[in-house]
Amino acid sequence: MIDFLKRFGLGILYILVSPFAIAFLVLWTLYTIVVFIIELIHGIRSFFKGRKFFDEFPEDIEAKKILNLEQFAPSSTPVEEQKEETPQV
Amino acid sequence: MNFLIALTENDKRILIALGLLLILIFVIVGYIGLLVERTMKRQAKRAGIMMHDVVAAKVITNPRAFIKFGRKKNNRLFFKQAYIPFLILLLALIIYIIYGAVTRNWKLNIFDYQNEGFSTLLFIWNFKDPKIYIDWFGIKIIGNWPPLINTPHFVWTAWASYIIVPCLFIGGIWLFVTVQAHIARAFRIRKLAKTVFNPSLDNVQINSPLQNNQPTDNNQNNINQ
Repeated sequence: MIDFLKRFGLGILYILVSPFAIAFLVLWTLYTIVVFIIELIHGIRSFFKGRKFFDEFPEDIEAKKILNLEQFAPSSTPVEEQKEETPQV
Repeated sequence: MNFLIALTENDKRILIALGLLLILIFVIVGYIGLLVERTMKRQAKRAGIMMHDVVAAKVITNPRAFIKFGRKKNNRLFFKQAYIPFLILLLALIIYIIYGAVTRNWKLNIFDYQNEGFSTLLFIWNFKDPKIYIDWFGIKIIGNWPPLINTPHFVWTAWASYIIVPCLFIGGIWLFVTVQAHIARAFRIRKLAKTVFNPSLDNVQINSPLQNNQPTDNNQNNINQ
């Protein structure tokens, strides 16, 4: 019942706010159309330069390098200590 | 001034029906809002995934660069998600141009129900008929079922509308969902920029002992033995 009343109240609020929300959505849609055209031009230009339509970002490449290095880096634990820990039969 | 309103039995019924209808509309809108909210939260999670590596590798170290890079990634992801709906909308435009060029009719009414519109495939009721409205305290409200003026029938001259309207409908809704996702990610990126790089004192209590030095139950047992 409380959830029902909460939804009822929020429904009134959403109806009051909806004109502003729709106006915001329309403006954002116009912005995204501009974004789409810019990305399209960028991709086509990149493609005709002989690269992929969408190259990876330099930041992503750098991050991947660093994370791969960390992943394959040798562990700092000395080998002798590990030997001592192994139980002798 | 006091007004005495005499309500007939019929008026009371209409009043109750209107009240129930309003409550139903508000609750449905409330649940639609909940659905949109949950969808946006789910869509916003993608922002964290796409920004994880650059933060984990410490390639980006300040909020400003985070927002800038987040915007670039968000725009690119939007392009990848939105090119299909854009192609569908483009198809609708091409069909319209072909139709106009072939028939020399550039004033295509896609909602017409007689000759050239998509509505030829739908049931159409005449809500403009004045006979269906009744007067209720000076307000005209609908009181009867409107007359049916069209039953679904196929018309060859409406072929363009049969393609254009579904394309506009599917492409429009798909585009709306991708725009909504773009908004959700943009807000999430801004929020993450504030929290990821700013150290917070919310969970720090200066008087509490350090957790590392606190004896656990096992350690305590060993000491006692």
